[in-house]
Amino acid sequence: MSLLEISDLTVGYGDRHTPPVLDGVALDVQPGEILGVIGETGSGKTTLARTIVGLVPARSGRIEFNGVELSALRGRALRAFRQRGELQFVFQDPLRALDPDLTATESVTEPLDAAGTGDRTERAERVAKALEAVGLDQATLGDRVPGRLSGGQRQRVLLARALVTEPRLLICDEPVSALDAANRNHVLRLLLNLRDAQGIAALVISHDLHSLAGVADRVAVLNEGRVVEQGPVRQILNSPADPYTQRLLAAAPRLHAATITTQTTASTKEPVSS
Amino acid sequence: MSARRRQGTLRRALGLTSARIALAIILLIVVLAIFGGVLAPQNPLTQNTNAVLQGPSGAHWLGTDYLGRDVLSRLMAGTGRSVVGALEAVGIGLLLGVLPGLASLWLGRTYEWISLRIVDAFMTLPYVVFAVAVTGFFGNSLTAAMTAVGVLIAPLYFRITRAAALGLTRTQYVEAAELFGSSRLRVLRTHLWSKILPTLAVTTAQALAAALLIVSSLAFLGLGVEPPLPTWGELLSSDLDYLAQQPWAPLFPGLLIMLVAGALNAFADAIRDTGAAQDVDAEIADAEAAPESDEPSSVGGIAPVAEPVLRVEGLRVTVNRGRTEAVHGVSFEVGRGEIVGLVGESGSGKTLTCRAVTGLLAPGCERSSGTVELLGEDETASVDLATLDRAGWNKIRGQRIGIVFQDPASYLNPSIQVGKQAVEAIRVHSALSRSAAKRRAIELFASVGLREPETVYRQYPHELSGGMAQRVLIAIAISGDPDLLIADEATSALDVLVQAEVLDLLRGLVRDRGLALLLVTHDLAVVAELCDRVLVCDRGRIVEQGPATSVVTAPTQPQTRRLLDAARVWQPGFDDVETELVGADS
Repeated sequence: MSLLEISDLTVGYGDRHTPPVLDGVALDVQPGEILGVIGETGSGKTTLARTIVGLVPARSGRIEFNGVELSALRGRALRAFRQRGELQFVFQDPLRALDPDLTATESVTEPLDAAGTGDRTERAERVAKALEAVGLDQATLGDRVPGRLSGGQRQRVLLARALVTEPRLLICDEPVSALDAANRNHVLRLLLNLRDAQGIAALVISHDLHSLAGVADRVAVLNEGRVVEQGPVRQILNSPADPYTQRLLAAAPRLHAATITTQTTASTKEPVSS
Repeated sequence: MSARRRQGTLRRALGLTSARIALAIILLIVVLAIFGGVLAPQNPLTQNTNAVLQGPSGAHWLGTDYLGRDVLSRLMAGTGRSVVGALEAVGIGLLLGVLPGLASLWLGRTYEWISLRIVDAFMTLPYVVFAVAVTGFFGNSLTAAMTAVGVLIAPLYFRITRAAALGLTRTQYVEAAELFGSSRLRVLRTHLWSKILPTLAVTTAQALAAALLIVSSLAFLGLGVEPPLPTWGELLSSDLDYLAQQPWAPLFPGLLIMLVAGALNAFADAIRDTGAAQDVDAEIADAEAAPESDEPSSVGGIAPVAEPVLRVEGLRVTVNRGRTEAVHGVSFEVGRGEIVGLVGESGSGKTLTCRAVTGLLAPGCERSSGTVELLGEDETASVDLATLDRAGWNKIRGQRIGIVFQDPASYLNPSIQVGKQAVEAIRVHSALSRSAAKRRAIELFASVGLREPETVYRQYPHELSGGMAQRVLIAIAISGDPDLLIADEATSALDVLVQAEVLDLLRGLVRDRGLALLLVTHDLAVVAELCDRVLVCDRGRIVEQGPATSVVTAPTQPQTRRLLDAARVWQPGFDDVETELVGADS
């Protein structure tokens, strides 16, 4: 059974006559799988992420998580589901998604406080574990507010806050686009490790095909609210079938001109070896 | 955490002399309010018909009133009632304003509609008239008058609280809290309260000052006066009756009221100013967070450039008010028609360098040594940028240096048509008439590849896509026909397709206008695409420089290799790139 199953999802702002932002989107994420969703601004990718977690209401369609229909949850049931923390959302910009007054430790504790998980000691242990998992030294950085952390450190606090509830699926909205290359790779590697070690699945949204290339098992390409192409990452990168995907691939700046070829490689090995 | 933050604000506020003086006056008034009656040299109620309306003397420092009572003693004894009156009014205002304001978080649209209509109605009522009506109805007591004032202060608190609370619920950290299943009450306690409190504190200081003035005005009119107990306002009014005999008499209560109201306002200003300034600049935090290296300064020499436009020599920048040095002696030149990339990770000092060059260092950051020169065609046209004051910078920025930043939307005023903003920029540094400037703006819009420039001219920033907004900013940046264009992560926030177009535009501008372009970026791929020369920044030093092609294909420094690896590992077809690079080397 799919961990996340989205079928015929239509989302729009304004009344029913305004054209929808997402139009009949169907996607699924299997347990322990990383699905990349790529699209430009206006493709509806952020709306997709926000609709899945319930920040934006759907016009029609179904979103099922682990057999539970999320779009039907309301009020108390919705809050109880959220407090379980099986599904977590990772925002794009940690500077906006973290309260500037809360220290790293306080921010990471928040989901546990909200759910009333365990006692004080147990919460502290889980927070320490989450911070360790993302490679943040709690002794030196735990008491810092976001303004006193670097961009990469802030993004890791955001991830630790999502991981502290031991989720089964992360919805990541552009988790690395605000980061420089080194921090970007650190975060992407972390997502891979989480998948391999703990079987945490993720839906990773990005406008940058290259940052998805290393982590995603499968990629879906979103254009003007529709999924125009999806498939294994190698296939999409090496032989994109849709003209839009081809254009997207060609426009990406490269370290060295004309290096990315469309030839198919026999190897199915991920391009990540380190 | 909120307490810690506010303590910081208070301590910083008290660094200002004005705030210290204001606080001293406020404390004095508090002491007088509590102990005024006891400290008063004479009984403020004791009448002495032999000594009415006397001038200041040894026995009566401020003279006596029409019943021969000591004015100083009456002022001191009256402080309590005046302050209590003001506190009553503000307290009632807080209670009736903040609670309904916070209730907006829970209650829906109907509540919003009704509460706003009530507030609108109350805001149209004049304080004094309303107080007259209330005291007429409930009897002439200080409490009745102050309750009336409090009711009229409440809408102010309501609006502030409601706006702050609803504004904050739209922040991502509150959204995140909602996604954790936090209750509204928890959100209020964890996230909102600490943000609203400073605003309320400032408002309260101002409201107290206003209330004190109102108490006095009402007492002057005889409202809320309960003789023989004095208030400042009543002293003022009783003195006025004998203005002919004692022209200076109203001076003392009047001065006192002014002094206290002024002190409260000054204190509120100090808190607000320092509170706003304390949001730590992300770049500074990055620089602080970056490990300090022990290596001696290893500044590379300046690569000679044919026709230099910008020359930076031995630039050092300190952050954290001089405590930490984040840029350790950077030197480089940028020549006419040349595109130079300044690359590095967050915290490498590239943004600080760029800000030092443009004179836009954040508070707390300072150029500690080194020169930054803008070179002209002859000696007289050359400017040492480091010596410029604000007026000097205004002549240089926009006219000789154009600057484009990462997030175009935040550099455009959301409520003004972008064309008008371009016209403003053009008219700052040219004598063009409004209509000529408009034609020029439309020309510029067309030259940066904005289709239908007349339409764009009339659009507001929110109607533009990120790429269009960035083009508008580039148009504004080149409107003064600058020699040097500085692009600080100008394409980092854009989608790849748009980024490619903007990079093309920049390339075209350099080619057609002979601009020098300094491109600050963390993205080596962008550098490889666009730049002639690359400067690699690491921990505040330039560790490698050279032609873009050779730096990207054959880096000599480990830091450059790290940047390259980082940019490369996640490229699809990585193996192919590697093979090709090896092939290019051999």
